Amino acid sequence: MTASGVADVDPAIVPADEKERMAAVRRYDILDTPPDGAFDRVTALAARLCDTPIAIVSIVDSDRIWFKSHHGVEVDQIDRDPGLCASAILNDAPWVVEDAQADPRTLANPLVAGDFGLGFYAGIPLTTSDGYGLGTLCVLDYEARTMDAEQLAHLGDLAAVVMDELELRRAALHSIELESEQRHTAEALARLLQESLLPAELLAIEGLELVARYLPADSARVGGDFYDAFSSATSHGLVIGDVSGHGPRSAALTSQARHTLHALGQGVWSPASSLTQLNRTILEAPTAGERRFCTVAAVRLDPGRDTGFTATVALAGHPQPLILRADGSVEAVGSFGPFLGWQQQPVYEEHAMHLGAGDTFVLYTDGLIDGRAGQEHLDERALLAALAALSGGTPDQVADGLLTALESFDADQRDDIALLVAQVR
Amino acid sequence: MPELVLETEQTTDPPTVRVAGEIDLSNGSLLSDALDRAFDAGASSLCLDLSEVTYMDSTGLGILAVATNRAVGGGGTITVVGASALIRRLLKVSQLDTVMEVA
Repeated sequence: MTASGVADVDPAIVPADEKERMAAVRRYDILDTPPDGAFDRVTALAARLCDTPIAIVSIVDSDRIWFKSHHGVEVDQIDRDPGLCASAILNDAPWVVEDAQADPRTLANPLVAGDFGLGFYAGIPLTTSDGYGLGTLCVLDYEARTMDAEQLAHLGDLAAVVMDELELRRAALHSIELESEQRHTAEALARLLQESLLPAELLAIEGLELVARYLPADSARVGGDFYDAFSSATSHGLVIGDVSGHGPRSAALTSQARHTLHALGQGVWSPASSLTQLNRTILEAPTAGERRFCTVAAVRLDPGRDTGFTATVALAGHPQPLILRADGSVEAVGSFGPFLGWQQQPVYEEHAMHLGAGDTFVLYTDGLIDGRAGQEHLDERALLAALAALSGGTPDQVADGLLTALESFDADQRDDIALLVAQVR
Repeated sequence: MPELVLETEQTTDPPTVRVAGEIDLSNGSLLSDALDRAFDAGASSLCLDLSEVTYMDSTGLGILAVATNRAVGGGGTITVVGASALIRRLLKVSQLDTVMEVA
């Protein structure tokens, strides 16, 4: 076989539009695909209706004739040159040779003159809607014979069935490709959007080692969780939040929440007043029917006179932050407050505590607001126990250990998980 | 869409809305419509039986919040019965339990 393939083939059996025809063959992406029951049923039926021992669905490739289905003969493909199908596709009409040994078109053909001893051939071209002959549905016999008009009509109908099958297959392949392309685009977009909801790099806070983890439930869905760290002249802020729902509107609320809290944190702020302010912002935001909600844990860190920090916590519908003390004890801190976007006049209580050297402060979203009833679910005591077991760990070790624990509570991870771990140096 | 079965019983006082299945973004409007219909029929208070709820996401939380606002605004209450431990925690953390009766 030469590089072009076609060069070995008698030019007489190559259609004038061979290049376009081969493009059409490739479009159907059928060559060398595994056997398929749909085509095998057609060839079995063709052999029965035409009363021939052999029936074939053939595709004419550049240098060979490949059989998508072959009934009555154990051959997968033959060279294009002796193949009668190559001649049959030259015209969009049935190609019938009743006595191949005597017919001048075929008597010298090796399949006829040789061991195979072909006596009869009738092929219907498989023609695309734009006029390209892909191959044939053909019936063969070792004996010379005739075929009546009814049988030829049956063969024509079956060829149309084969063509329909090829079209369906191509449409299915096309939609799968399209879908996968769209999914990739959506995922890329989602990642981009999600990245904009999270700080590129956590702010460095003196005296504190800070790490974050974010595990989206579904990379193509955005708008779940957010976290941030910021500093003003006198204090630092840590926030984490979870927005209801997914999609663009949730992402917009997530972005709004994060940026509102970040902006408020640049001035003199308190966690409770920031939550009240954010609640008002969310309530005043125009909603297109569907309301969105948000939970937030907001923490202000004021550096101590000598070492450590005073942490002031306020919660809006969010689970309590956890503390792993340097001595290995654990506690959950903060008073629950109403989630954001619900009440007109919510009251948020602040709760302050000291964080000393070696203490680890943990903010998390656990998908609690997407809680599953009957099954195993997040148990705060179990989470505190998991945290206690991480005593002595670096912030990275604590974060990874908790991530594993949180994941185990939500095995099919229906919600995002985010973690912010701060350890006092 | 996960299965959500709703049944409103008018003969109890207040009327009881029995919820079974999963409440999420895809079917939440069924629940909010059912609650709206119960209020529209004249009820000022409602009892929500959540004992057959197997999953509830933030959509459910939002619907409960809106329903509670409507009940309280009309001088009534929302009573929740049969809530699982997880839903109870959800109601506590969100503070919905401060404005509704959790039996």
